Amino acid sequence: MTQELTELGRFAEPSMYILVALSDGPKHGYAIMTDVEAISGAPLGPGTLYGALARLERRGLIEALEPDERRRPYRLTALGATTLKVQLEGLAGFARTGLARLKETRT
Amino acid sequence: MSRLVSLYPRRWRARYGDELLGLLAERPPSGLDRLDLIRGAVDARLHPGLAGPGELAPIDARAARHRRAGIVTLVGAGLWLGGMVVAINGPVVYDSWGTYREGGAALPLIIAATALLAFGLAGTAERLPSGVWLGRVGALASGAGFLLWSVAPWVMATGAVGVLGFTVLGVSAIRSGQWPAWALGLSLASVLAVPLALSGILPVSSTFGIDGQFVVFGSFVVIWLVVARPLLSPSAAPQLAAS
Repeated sequence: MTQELTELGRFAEPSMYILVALSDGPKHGYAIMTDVEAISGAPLGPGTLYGALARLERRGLIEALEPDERRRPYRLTALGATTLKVQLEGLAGFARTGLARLKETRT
Repeated sequence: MSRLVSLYPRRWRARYGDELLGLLAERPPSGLDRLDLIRGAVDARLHPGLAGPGELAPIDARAARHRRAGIVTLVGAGLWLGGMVVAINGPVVYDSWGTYREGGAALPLIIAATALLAFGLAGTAERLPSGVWLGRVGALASGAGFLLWSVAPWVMATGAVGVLGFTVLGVSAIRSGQWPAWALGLSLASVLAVPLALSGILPVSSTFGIDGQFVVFGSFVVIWLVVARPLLSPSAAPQLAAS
């Protein structure tokens, strides 16, 4: 079973980036923020980051680990990994279709 | 910085405040970040359960609710068809209105079927992305319109409101990827069969005699099936952006 990130409204897209950032291992807030900026090319505000983290945690897509002083790392849960996989496969299919059509138009 | 964090609700601060302050210490906020924090604080106050139990229904419970709505809608489809069978087996009446089949005995089944459809419409509306308020209004209009029409089928305006609301809901469901376009097309085609039959374009009377109207109304069952189908199927691949 997966979850629909669309339910997260304006947090859907940041949540997707956060899940990708956590896909190679646990990260704390600042590391997530830096990684998301590197992936998306756009800054992620701290309010949006924690709004999305809270929602992802509540939905069981990520889980908090023991904090190291003020830094609390988060990691992807199994449900989070499955949800991310479904999202990315959907986007890959969409990209393939779009590129194929574009190619047909140009030729 | 701590003043901005203090804008968040107490429970939220207890859970995330310390790490957020740590983050802001590592990366001092820009002007835009400060605005983002204010927006985040408003959001946290609007959704107080985000930092603790009680607000968001677990997804399993939500999915189970949708499945129940789908099953109830399917039961409604059965009742609707049952109502048509009862109507077709009603007594033939000859009076000043002409010769027709008295289908009044089917009314309780028809009303019950329409009431159950409302659960499916509500479930469909709940699955729409947040912000798609027009689709939700459509679901409400559709449920109320159809129910009123089932109680008093001679008041055609209520049926029209139901169809209009259903169309609005259907368009929203298509745009959010919940329904395929053919689902709405098929539903509207079944509704369109009524004027086509009344005008004689669809030869139901010549084929089915006085039972023709019930055959046409029976095709409305498509609406129940179209509504139930996505509620019963596992979640489709989620979309990235909320519309």
